[in-house]
Amino acid sequence: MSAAKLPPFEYYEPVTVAEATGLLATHGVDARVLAGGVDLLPRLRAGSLTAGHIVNIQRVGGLDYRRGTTSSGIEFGAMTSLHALELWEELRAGYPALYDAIHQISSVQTKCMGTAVGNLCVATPASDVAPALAAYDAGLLVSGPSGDRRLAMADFYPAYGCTALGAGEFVTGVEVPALSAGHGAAFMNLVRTHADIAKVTVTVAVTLRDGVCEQARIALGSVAPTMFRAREAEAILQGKELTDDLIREAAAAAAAEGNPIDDIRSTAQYRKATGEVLAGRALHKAFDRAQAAAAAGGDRGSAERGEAR
Amino acid sequence: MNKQVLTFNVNGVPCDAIVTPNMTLADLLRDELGLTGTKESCQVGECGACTVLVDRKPILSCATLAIAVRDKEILTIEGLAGTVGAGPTGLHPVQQAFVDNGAIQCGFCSPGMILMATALLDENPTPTREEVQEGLGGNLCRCTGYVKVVDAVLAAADAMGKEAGRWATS
Amino acid sequence: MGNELRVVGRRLPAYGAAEKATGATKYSLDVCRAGMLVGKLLHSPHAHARIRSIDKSRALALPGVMAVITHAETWQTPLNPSVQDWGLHDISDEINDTYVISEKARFWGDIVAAVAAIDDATAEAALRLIEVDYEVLPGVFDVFEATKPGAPLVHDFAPNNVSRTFAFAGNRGDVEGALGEAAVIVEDTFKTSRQYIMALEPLNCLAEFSPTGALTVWMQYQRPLVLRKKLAQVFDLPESMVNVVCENAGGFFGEANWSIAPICVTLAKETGRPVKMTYSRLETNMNCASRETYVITGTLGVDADGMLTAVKEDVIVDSGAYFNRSAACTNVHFADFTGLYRCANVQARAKAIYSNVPMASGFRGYGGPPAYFALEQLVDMAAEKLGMDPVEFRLKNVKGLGDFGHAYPLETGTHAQVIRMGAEKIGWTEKRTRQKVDGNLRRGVGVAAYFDVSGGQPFERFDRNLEMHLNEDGSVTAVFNHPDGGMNLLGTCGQMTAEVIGIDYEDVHFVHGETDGKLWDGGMAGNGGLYTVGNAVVNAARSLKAKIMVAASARLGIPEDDLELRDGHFYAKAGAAADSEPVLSLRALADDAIYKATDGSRNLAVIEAYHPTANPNPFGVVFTDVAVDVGTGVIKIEKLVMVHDIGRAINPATVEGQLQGGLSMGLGYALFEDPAISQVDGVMRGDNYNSYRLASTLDMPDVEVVLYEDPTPSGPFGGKGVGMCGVHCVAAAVANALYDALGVRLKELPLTPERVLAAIDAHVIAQVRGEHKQMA
Repeated sequence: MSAAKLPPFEYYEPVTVAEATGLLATHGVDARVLAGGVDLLPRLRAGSLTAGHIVNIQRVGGLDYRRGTTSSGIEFGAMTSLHALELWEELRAGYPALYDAIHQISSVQTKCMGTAVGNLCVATPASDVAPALAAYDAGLLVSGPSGDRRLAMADFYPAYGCTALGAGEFVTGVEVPALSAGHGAAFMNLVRTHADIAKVTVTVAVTLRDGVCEQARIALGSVAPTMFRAREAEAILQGKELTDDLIREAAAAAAAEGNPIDDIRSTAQYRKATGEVLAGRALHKAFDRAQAAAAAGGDRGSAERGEAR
Repeated sequence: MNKQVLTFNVNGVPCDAIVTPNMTLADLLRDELGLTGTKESCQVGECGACTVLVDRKPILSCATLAIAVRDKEILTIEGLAGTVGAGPTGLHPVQQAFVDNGAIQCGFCSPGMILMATALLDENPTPTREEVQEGLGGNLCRCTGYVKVVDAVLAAADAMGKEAGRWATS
Repeated sequence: MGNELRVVGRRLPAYGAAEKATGATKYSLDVCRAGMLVGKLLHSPHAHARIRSIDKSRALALPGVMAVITHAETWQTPLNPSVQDWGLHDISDEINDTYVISEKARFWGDIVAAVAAIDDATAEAALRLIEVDYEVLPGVFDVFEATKPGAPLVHDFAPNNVSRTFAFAGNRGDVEGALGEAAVIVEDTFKTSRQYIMALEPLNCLAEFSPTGALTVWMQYQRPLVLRKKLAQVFDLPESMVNVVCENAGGFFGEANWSIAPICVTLAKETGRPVKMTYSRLETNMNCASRETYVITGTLGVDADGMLTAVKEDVIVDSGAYFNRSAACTNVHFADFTGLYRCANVQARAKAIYSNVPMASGFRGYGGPPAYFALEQLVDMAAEKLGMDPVEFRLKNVKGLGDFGHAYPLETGTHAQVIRMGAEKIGWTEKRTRQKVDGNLRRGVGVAAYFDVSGGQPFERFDRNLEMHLNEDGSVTAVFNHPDGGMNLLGTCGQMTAEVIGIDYEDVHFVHGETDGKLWDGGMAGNGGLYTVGNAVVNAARSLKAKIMVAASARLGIPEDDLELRDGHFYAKAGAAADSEPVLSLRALADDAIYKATDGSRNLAVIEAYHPTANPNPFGVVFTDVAVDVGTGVIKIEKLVMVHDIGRAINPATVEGQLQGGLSMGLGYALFEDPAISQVDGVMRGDNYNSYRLASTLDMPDVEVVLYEDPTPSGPFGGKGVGMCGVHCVAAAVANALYDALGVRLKELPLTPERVLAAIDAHVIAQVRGEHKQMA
């Protein structure tokens, strides 16, 4: 309970990915990656996690980058800060729901120090960034002792507080695919205060073609042990015209796929009810954006269906 | 865990200190270098009181390892006056604006708040009121209710004009 | 005072602001002494437990551990931690139930031992080696569990955990009779929450004995001379051998738990070295102060014309594990609840209870915010039953000249104008009649009024003593013991001193930060700063000015009436040289006196003993315009208007800042601050700022604070109190606005979206049921 200094640990500053994975593999679960430190150091101080070895990846070459566009897809590195991402015009204009999820993080200091990848690797079910990336079908680039691989964001959390990373592995970057012409997405959350962790966080993306929902993504956080995509709800929308009734049905289904709890921020009952409300509102907003995008992209069918609604 | 002597660049001055890896930047500044202007209130990165500028970026010194920033330019509140456009009082325009606009009450959050405001104006010399609020979202204050803090930052922006983007006076 | 004021009324920089802006200001947290040890506390992991034994041996055996203390090594007489006696007030209501280190654990986190060691890590290790044999007892965590027959007793001397029953000293008339004849009666029960101070500076203390046994303690504390006296008693030292140093504190919002001081001093005494204790945020949260929770059953009786004829309340106050300031807070609560409006028949009663939660204390506003949360909603309910507009109802019942405030007749009658001004600024009439439905939102407007005090007199002794003198450079120094906790008391006193004497604001200095060499002062609380300290300072300045004028007149051979002192210079008011050139500088006069006079005229100095004989009430009102999202229960305050009758704003920026800060606290009280104390095991889960949320700038609504000035005759330059006022009415105004928006009334704090949504759902269900009933 008392004010504490950080516990002692061995400290490393690798300069290559291979060096970093080697250190992580050698020291196993007793080693932690230090990127921004905004989560790691407070937790170490509080004793809610332990680390005999800290591997600082701030000096590993080639991890701080951001590149691409909506037509090529965007990618960014493990040491690219949240603030660098929110200042990136390509991301703000092209991936607005991801931008919103990042921008609404209140503390500029946290965004300057903290990285999106770090946020994902904390593996809290309440991350706003994780469901936003999942809704955009993002993939994570992983390096380990046995080489590199790509993991889907949506499949990154096998259980509460856990990532799908294997021994010695760490995430080196994130890829977010190109967007189709009729794509629209929206982010929404509920919080006690602006700085607080979300009670419910939802990111939704729909792709329209010829007036029909070609693909839907509904990702929720804070309402289950891990962030998840509401696949049953997504299936309801797939291939259909998005009517108010259908959206309502999908929102209800999405909320029902969650399993929220009572905690100091909110109640299970509230989260169930508002998960549905937010999913519905986000779907409407994503749909409106998708229609606008489709019209701009020359898809008159999607625009006309929308006018008739 | 090894102790080593490292040299830090703090407020433009090289400072030697005995450092262990588990020492935070806040520990270094307050305990080793006697620069108590940087405050600690929560130690979990939630209040912003420990904000300092490292290579001109605002960071939380309670959640930063000292050893990790050994080769960077560290600016604390003690070093702010005289960095740019100091008026007749010698205070940095942001400090002066805080003083002139009633933005300081007990003063405990003020070093972190002032440095965060300085970094904000460095990046965005002409912020709207809303942008100032967004910039200060990570700095808690229990005294002011923030109204005059935002007023002060806007006043500082006016006073600095386009100078806000420049760092050194010469 | 008919002329225009030069210094008073100006938005001058606060005293010490430049030092704070540069990080030069030292708080007790920043002080280090050579050879100092680290002190740490061992806390009970149980909310309620007897301590059978404590084995310190393994801890003491650890190299680098210099002392381990428990209850046995500390002062055995229980105290009241709010440190409120020795002639300061009638202490018959107080309960001395707190030991320096507890003999029994009464809340999760209660202090059971303390260590001093060479460094942080050793002290932490030592804590883990102390073996405490606890007999865990069942705990009680709310007022109903605590008072059930057979409930475990927090203190053996309090049957059913009831510590005190109170009846308001101002109870009068025949409440039951008035209720019997009332045209309209409203009654309801309200539950308020436990809000914690959460000032930014963590609690800390540094204690050091000199080689000759003099004790110095560095600690943030609102009443350093009282702390000095208490430490002198506990450690059997003459007061002059104890120096409490507190020049600047990172936030003063009420009396913290003082026990960090005697524990730290005991460790310093045992080890012979300075000991510094710094509480973590969790320890600070548990041991700072909180606002008691109140369960208020209030009843109002109103006649057919809309005049209040009966005001009644029965209250249960939950002090937590120790009584602390509960008597004062409850009495203030009574005075606020029964006294805001005119009413001949009032009855307020309370019982205070113990529970196993971290204790309450006198937190900014005392029992005011809970009182207004209940009263102002009852008033709206009564207005509605009468078919009367809520503002109209208040205007009918507000006090004015001829009425009494808390204890003295009102000096000015401002409340009606204040309320009217606020109503106009929020756009009351137009907002009451606008379309409430706006998509998913429901809009509503609400009002809540308050009044407060300018110090605790006559119930507490708010007398002040100070010394003031002229320096050789023509500046003036005032010497008294008042730490700077951010209210700019020193700056406002400086402005008034400069005004009275005729010098510049920058030429008034204060020596104020340690108890050594200071005359007695009971410390700061209860909006008392500007009024009591300000009056004392103005009196001293006038006395000093008189002496200065006598000396100048003698020096110049010009009658006093023909001399004017302004901007640090004397001007002749009559004759050819009138007003154009100064005839002497104050500096020259001082210089002459100090270095050349051979008699008492060399010391241009005064001592002032001020005894307040009045207590003018500031009045105010808060209006909120809210939009509630019916899908999520989220309340957005679109605009908040606050009008506060300050008498005269010595420094308007300071007054506005106090109110704006109070509003941010009131906002938290209303909407989201919650220590989340488990009802199962008493664990305080709101341990840090990430769990117990304070408002950030992003959470603040559009706030307009308006200062209403009507100088109060007994106040310094007509000024009155303000410090606590911003917290009082946000909750009440938002609750009333919610009702206007939704037709549902929330009676439990905080007004979370969860509660709002549940109330909306219940309301809708009730309406639907009602419709079904009609159809059947």
